[in-house]
Amino acid sequence: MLRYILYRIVWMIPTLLALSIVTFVFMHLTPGSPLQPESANNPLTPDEQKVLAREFGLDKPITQQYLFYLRNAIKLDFGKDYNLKTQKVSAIIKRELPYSLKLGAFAMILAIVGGLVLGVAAAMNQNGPVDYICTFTAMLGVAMPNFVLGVYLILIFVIVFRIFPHAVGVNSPEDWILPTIALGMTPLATIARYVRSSMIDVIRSDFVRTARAKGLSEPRVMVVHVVKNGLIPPLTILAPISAAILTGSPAIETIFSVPGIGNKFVYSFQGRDYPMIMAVILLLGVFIVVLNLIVDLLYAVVDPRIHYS
Amino acid sequence: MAIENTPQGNVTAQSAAAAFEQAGVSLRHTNLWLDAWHRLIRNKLAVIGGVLVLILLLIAIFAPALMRYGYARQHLGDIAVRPNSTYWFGTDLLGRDLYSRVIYGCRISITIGVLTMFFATLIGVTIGSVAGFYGGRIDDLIMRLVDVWYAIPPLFFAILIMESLGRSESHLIIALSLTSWPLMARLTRAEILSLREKEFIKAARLSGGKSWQIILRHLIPNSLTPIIVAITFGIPTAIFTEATLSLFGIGINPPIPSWGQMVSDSVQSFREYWFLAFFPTTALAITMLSFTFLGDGIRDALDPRMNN
Repeated sequence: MLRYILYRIVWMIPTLLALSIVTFVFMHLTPGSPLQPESANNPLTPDEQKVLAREFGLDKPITQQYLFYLRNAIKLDFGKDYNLKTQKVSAIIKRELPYSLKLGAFAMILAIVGGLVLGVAAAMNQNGPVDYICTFTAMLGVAMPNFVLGVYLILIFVIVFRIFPHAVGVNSPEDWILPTIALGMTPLATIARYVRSSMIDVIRSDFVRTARAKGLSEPRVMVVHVVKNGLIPPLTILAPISAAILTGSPAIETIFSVPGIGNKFVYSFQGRDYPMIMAVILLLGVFIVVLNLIVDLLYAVVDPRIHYS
Repeated sequence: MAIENTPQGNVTAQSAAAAFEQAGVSLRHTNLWLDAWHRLIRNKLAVIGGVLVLILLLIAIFAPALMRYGYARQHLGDIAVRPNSTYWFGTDLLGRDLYSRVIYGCRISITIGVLTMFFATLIGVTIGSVAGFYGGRIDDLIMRLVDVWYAIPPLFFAILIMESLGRSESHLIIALSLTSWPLMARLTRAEILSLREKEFIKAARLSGGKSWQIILRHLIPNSLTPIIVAITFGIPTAIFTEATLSLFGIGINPPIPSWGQMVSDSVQSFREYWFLAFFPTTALAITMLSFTFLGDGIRDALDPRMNN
């Protein structure tokens, strides 16, 4: 098992290297990028372009540029931001990442806890009123894009009912509530659906029948046999769920004006802010790979039938 | 009426049919699609979804006739007007009639959704059927590619493509199709793998059918079930991705209205002008919900294992 963990960690490196190469190449190929100082549309004279190129190291061959970039990246130095020209990318990320992490973590917790509760309640009350409500809520969550939900939440709770004083920024603790719900509803709905169907499968299975036939009390059957076994398959979707939360955050951060990375990421793309883009993509890659590894290991720990070599 | 004795044997078609009729069993001709249709009709949510989808399609087709003022026309004297009898949904910050923009936005969204799934299905089914049919090394290679492609978050891939190629509706459709085809390929391949060994395929081969004929005439038509479901769910996903891209300003360019773009414009002035956000958001919500209800219904109706 330990060998497997090491094997996976070692495999992270080529994956991230490949990701960085792809991003790097793509950025250089994009027309109109500031990384091509000698382009036709550039308002500067050719001589000025050469000076600029030399200053940013853009006149060297591309492989050398890449190695240079890689060396700096390992030192966590991603250069200066192209948009806010005086700030370093790593400083910007350090300032904004905590907000995105907080939002993502809250949304994840909401999705897992809410999804579990909804899914289990629905499964235990199959085809009954509770099931219907839970299934319907899940369907709504899955069908609506997260920013649509966010807009509705703002319209309802800030403008119509005035429960929350304002919808922008996250200065006080209560400001986190609406963005968390908006970001976490869709994952919650997905988790609830999975939990419900997996629990129903378990409830109908032979070993639960045996447990009941043996005379075990219903609560004991539920807790010891059904819940423990029914929660294993939904673990597999934790990885795509976390990826969904990561990619869903830009929209929510934009709508609720959360000063996080997702917000900045999109504008970096529009403003061709390449150091920022490459840094964020690498960061995202690291997150996704590490999360996948954690979920896989969790799955192995929880299900005794699974054995990694 | 008992089963009669005839010279050919104990039972004839007519006598059997008569006996069945007496027992109350219907012998009407039916097949998978008819059965599925009947199940679908019985599902109220799915019917509501289906009707709404039909209405949306009609709106999309007849959008130019349904608009009142044109989506780009600015009424500079009537900026950010509340909904009233002249401007049914109000006007936006540039004086454009919101109702017309929402109607035209429907055409844009539906077009993008449908065309995206059309190309994604074309590419995905082709690649998936080749992988599933030939198997072996080709299958391995193709599925590796599909797995890698599938792992890329669609939003980022679409952003990358839109930024590289430039922003236009056709580039958007290309970008969205490229993110959707791996799913279609996977589904097709899975179905074909399970159908490949069945007798009727062997029979087709024995009667001299060439590979591509077998794929086109036998394998693909029998694999349609999950493909149809995927298409029905893929359309709202494509519409959602387009809306998110437009929210960031990377999707459809103004003045062509897109619901996501309209929401993006409204974010700054939520408190003063609620209607700027409400109508495009509601349009998006209704579209997504109706396709999802319909898709759920189709999936349940086509699944022969469902016991209602």
